[in-house]
Amino acid sequence: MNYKKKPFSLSFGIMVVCFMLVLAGCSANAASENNAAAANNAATASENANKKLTMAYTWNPAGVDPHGDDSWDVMRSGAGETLIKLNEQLQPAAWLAKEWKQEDANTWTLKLENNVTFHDGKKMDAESVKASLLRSIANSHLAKDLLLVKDIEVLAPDELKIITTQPNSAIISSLADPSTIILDVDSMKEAGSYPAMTGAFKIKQFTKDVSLVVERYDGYWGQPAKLKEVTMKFVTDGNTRLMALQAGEVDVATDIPIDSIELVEKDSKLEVLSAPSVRTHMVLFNMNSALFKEKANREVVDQAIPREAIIESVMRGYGTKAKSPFPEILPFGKVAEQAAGETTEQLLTAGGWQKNAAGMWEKEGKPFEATLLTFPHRPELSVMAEVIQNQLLNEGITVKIRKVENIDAELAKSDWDLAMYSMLTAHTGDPQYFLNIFYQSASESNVSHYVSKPLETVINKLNDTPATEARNALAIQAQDIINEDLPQSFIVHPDNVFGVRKGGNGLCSASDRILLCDS
Amino acid sequence: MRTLFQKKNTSLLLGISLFAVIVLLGLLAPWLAPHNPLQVNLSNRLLSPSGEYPFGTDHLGRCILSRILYGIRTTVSIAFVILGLSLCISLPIGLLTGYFGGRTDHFFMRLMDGTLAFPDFVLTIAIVGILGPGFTNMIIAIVIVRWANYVRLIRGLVLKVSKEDFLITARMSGNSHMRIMRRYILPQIAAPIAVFSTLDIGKIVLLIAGLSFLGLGVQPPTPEWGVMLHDATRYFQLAPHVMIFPGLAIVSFVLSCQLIGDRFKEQNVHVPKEV
Repeated sequence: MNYKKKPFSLSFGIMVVCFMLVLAGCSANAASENNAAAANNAATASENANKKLTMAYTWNPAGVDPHGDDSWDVMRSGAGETLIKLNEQLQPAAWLAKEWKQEDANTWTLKLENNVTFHDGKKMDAESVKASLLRSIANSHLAKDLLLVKDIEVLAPDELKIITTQPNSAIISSLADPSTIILDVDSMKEAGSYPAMTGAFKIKQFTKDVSLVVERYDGYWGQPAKLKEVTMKFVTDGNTRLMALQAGEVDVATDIPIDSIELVEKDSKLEVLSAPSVRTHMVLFNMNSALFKEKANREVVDQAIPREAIIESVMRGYGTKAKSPFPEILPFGKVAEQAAGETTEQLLTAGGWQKNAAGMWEKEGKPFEATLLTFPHRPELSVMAEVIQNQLLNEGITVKIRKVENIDAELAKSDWDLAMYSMLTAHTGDPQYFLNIFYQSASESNVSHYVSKPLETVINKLNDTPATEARNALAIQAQDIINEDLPQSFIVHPDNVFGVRKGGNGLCSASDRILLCDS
Repeated sequence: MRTLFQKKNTSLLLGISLFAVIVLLGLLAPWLAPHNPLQVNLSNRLLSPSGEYPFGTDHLGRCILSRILYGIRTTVSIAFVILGLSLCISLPIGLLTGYFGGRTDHFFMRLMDGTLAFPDFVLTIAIVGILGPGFTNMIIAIVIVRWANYVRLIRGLVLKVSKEDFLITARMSGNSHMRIMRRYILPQIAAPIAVFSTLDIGKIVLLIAGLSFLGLGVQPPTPEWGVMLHDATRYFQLAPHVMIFPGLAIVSFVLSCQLIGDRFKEQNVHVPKEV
């Protein structure tokens, strides 16, 4: 599955909205702002009309086809739009579709905006949206799994009917996923051409491993972008991004390494923008490993994770303690914390473990020794791995850390016990997709190999439930089961952190507000 | 001449002293280290040098001085193990190929040409990449890369010695091949091998640190200079001391090896240039 192959590439969570709004110069959309602010925005808009922005961007997309592994990168460029977007409360809101209605359990109708044109000048209508959605389903496993589409019918030039294979209450929020970006399918027929989408920016140039340049699309259906051009330079190393920002090479650096935030704060020309995310850093247990088949052993590791200390020191306060897969900012993330159970000593002794002369736990002459995988793309995870390793060593358990380049490829093998992992758990603002791909026993993305019939029953019930309140209650129930069985230990919901040049393009004040409001 | 001689001796003395001090510090690490090198203390992260932590602390609040002292044990002992293994493999091959020549000699020479055609570090990375990161695999990879240098050196030295009159006499006296190699050749080539090894140990330390820096060698939490440098890269602006001290440790050790090796090289004409 695409989603499984590149979970950490689905980074920044809600930051995607920030990107789009920043790039589109969203301040002009803020209807609620007072007159003074509006005047200020107008002045800024005029100032920025011909300005260009350069950004050091964390990821390195292989291409610009949004119906594949690089959909998030295209979305962040401000060039692509979906039928639905998520609002400040992470609820589905109108975008290219202005309204929608559920006809029955399997049927939805959507009314489209009338004045939208693609970057190649063609008008967007129900036929082109249907063709785009069918293309995304054909090319992207993620879109296919999210939408569960049986058929799409064109009811009118601006009206579409979607019929699903089974009741899919999450389809509206799933239509906010970047893998469903609407494009003119004809624009993809020529090899090497850029996709014609509907965003405020259109793709000017994509150079693999170097940059993506987007320019203002003058025929945009909404408020025109304030910036003339934006260059996203692909800089995967956090320190290099930071240094590019410090040297003035770029105006914005995404995903500043947590430990370098202090440097940005100290620099009078720079400032830090941060916002909570819907990402979760966690430790995965391999439920097929001889060690962690036993729940007591998982509990021992879980208890050894010093979450508060990690947030305070490793994350420097830029994150919140994780009690479950979903953060508390979501209505289905308000899960009760598990009460402290037995001590490590009690748990291991009951399991037949004994301490040897060196103070290390062993059973039938075999020491308690686990392999912990970590990967370099999120440096803080490797630091956390070392902290956990040390804590467990103090408890008498040896942990061998193995750094791997491709964490998903390694997780598919069986020679690991524990793994540091990070996932956007609610990128569509709905729990259904994550729970299905991560916990259904048949799912390829169930990397912990966790099988729980009661949990699957709850997830299936959630899949069939349309009412939001009931869905949230079921999601919480599912998380209670997860926390009871402990297939993963959730550590922290990290904040998204940007470094920006003060006053460079009149972005900072706008970005700040956007970053905060979109959290 | 006298001044020149004194200068040369000073550098030798400096090299030997530095080498001895570093090795001694490593041996006495358990008594000299002010803290447990593995003890994580998150409330003490990235502290600047102070009385309690003379070299400051790293990103996990561990004492950098203690880690450097214990790091001597890791880095230098691995280097000696690699050197020993390389010599164990190279010595018999070098002696036999140099002494007998023929097809075996041709075979090994082509094998070495193949090995030496690639830069050391690139080949080591490739081998570790295939075997997988880790302590043992790193040792195997470096031995695979370095043995060829020793074989070529030993073979060259044996070829040179073979033409000496005393060896012809030894042959005429009816000594067996084994005895000739053991009694007459080996003592003659021992000194140049020792000098080359001294020079090479610095190079091996650099390879170990380089691989660990890339995350392919020694794995955390083992205190090792390359690993420490790797960990420090993210903090070099915020807390430069985290990078400076392990860097100085590597420089000091490699410098000591160079000073000793260079001095011997000047005296001993038998030591060929690095191949």
